Amino acid sequence: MWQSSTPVIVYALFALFTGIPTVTAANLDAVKARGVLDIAVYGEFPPYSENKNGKPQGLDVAVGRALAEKLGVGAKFRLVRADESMSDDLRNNVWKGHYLGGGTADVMLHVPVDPLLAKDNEQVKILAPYHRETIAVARQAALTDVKSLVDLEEEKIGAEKLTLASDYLAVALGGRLRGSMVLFKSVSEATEALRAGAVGAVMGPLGEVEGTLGSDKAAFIVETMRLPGLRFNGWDLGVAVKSSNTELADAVARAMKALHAEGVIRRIFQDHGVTYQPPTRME
Amino acid sequence: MSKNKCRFRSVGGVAVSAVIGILASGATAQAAGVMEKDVLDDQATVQDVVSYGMGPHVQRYSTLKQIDRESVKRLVPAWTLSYGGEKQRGQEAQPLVHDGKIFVTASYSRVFAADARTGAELWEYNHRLPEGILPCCDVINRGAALYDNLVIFGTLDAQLVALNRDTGKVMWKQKTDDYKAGVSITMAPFIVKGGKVMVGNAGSEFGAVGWVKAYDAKTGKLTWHRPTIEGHMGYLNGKENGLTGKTNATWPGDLWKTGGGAPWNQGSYDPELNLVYFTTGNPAPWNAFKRPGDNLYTTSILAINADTGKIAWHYQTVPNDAWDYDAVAELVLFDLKKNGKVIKAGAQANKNGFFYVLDRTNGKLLSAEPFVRKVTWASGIDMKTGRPIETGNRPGDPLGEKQGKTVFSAPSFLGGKNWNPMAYSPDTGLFYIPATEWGMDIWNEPISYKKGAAYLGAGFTIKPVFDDYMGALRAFDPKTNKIVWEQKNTAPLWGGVLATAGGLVFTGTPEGYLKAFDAKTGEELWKYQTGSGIVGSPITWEQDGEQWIAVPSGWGGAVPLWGGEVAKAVKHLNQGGSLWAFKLAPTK
Repeated sequence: MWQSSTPVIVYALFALFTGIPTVTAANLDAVKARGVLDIAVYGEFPPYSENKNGKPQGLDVAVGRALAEKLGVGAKFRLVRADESMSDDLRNNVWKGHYLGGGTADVMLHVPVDPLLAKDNEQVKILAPYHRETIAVARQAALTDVKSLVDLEEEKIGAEKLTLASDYLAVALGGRLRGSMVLFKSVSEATEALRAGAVGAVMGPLGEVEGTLGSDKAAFIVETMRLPGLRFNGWDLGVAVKSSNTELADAVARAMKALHAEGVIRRIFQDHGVTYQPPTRME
Repeated sequence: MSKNKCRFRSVGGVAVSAVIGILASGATAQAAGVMEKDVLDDQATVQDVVSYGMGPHVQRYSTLKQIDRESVKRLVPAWTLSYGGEKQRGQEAQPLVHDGKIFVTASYSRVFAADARTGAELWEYNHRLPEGILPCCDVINRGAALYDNLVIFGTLDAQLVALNRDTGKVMWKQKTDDYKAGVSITMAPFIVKGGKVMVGNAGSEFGAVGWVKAYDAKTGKLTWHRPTIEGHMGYLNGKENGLTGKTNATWPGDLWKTGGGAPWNQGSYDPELNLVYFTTGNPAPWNAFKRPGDNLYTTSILAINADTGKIAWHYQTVPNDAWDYDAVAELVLFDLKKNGKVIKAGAQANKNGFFYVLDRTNGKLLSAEPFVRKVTWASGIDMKTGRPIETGNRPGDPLGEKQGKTVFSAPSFLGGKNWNPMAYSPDTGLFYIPATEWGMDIWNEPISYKKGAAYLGAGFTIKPVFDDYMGALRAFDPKTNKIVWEQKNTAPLWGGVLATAGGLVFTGTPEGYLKAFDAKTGEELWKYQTGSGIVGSPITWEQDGEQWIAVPSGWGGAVPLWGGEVAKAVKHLNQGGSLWAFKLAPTK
């Protein structure tokens, strides 16, 4: 569960095997006293967060660093694996900790800001939205006359397994696009296949599609598309803080507001080659 | 070959046989290892328990009868072994006994060996688990296999590990799959002819494809690999060995790639037919609308040739499963005596509430009737086609008009019976099923979230069905398909069952009791409080002329993690981690 600088790994492992309490989510004063904000982000999740050459990198990592800096502390990252649901992730990483040990982080990034998710997880506060993720389709530049997904029926459409994109391709329009779908382990594998010409299009979250295409983005047509049948077209991403740590939650919300106002968030997305979409639920 | 395995039943006989055994093995202190024959004969030999299920037919039946309806009142603890540490949860294992030693796996991928007479610990093995494993249903392990001088078990990071039974040192280790893809091993491996050890994976929740693998038990070398989902290639001795099924026959498009169907629970084995029987889990993803078709071979019973790794037959219990009704309950092999004929049969008490009896030579369905009181998803099983007669309570299309609509279905996704093994007594001809009565609300959520992203999910909440009980130990007659007796229990039953020639049935409860019942009438004859919930499986063996019983104690597993309203009802139960051994107190 831990992937961070060496001393942290050593401490976490030590704690895991000796039963000594590990780092747990702290309130603002304890975070300040510690001098470090402990931040959970997903591992192997480009362009948002991944370990590159032993260092955490990516959009969410940059947002986390900016957030910590605003709070006047350093940033430490734990790159976590996704469990079966977001509620599991919030339990494992923010409010309770996984039963295998490892403690909890002070904050977790990339958490959808949705009242229904919040209602199911009252042990955390989900706040400080910083981006809106939407579903996009990247396609070969030669496929010019495409007004909707149906126009891609004859093409192979890549998608990550067990995601909204693969769900949608499997279910929507009476299953019309089911035969066109090619499943990949990740969006980066799907965009790699697009680069290689193995698929005509890739469907997935805009940030992941753009981010994994990187500088090749210009060679393809990348568009968000209306998805008939779906009653939503995207979701806001924010920060989860353990509910009892109200001062930290307030401080994070204030800090994020300031980062938006100063244009820091927008700049981070620009730096990573991802179209910035302001969240709809700005606080 | 010499081996320390004798058939004496008298008190003196055992002592003498031990001496003969030592002399025969070259007068060394080193006892001979467990032979293939010991595994195949496990049910008939009472001095040891060398396999999960107490024999390849996994009947969990012993011919011992020193402890009977009368004497059981004198059953008292002989010793207890604490697993120690802070890892006090989910002890779902069945112990093994051989040559005066008892072996038991414990949660967090641990193994303990102790003196079977005193309980004194001989060694323990703590598997170093990597960071970031995410087991679906607690950190449990169900048991080991004994072979030669090895104790072989699977780990939460999907390794197969063989330990020296005298020292606990690792003799070989094999990575069966990628734990980062969500694969783990929780089942007890088992030995088949030719010295092969069989194992299946867990992890359908993450879209991992199910498989059965056969390894050389002495070296850990892979012999064959059989995926459980159509379209995937099988392998034998490193060479391609034919696809499983036919690509896109029952899965549309590319969806077979994430098919699920993990055979995560107990297997059984018919040495005469040389078939291994594995039972497979639910398809992935959960929402059935995403994968129209039967989705073979998920929620199925598979018979696989133990030498070639080819599927001999299959029987699917729930085509296009929409309720998470894994068919992973074990197939118990037995002789069905009906109308003057003896049929080589297999029986399964399925999560979906039906008790299936099949001809195990060809997979033909012989009967399928409910063993739980409340079944809402199907009104019966069509005996001509073998398919369920559904009642129309599938959850709605996530993009359709009934988006988000809730349906109630029973049993719940934790099943009328889950992984916990039943027992069969050839004396009474009855199966003893650790059943649970519960249902669930299922709804297709328009939006759920995973890894910070929306998807079309499904929500499940478990609810009790009756006010006064959830668990029920039931004696079920496979000839009449009737419940002969039942003993209710407040909490769901989550442990294994043992039947003996002494006319007794043993099982544990989450409330902490090990209990003995009259096999014919169901009368409760004895109970003992072990201090934590019992979710493991009891065994019995003979030692120094005395009959012993052993069972692990330590509450945990899927119920407290997944049980919805039921989880709240069992919140007060204490966790733990220990192995208890019992024998009769002397008569006064």
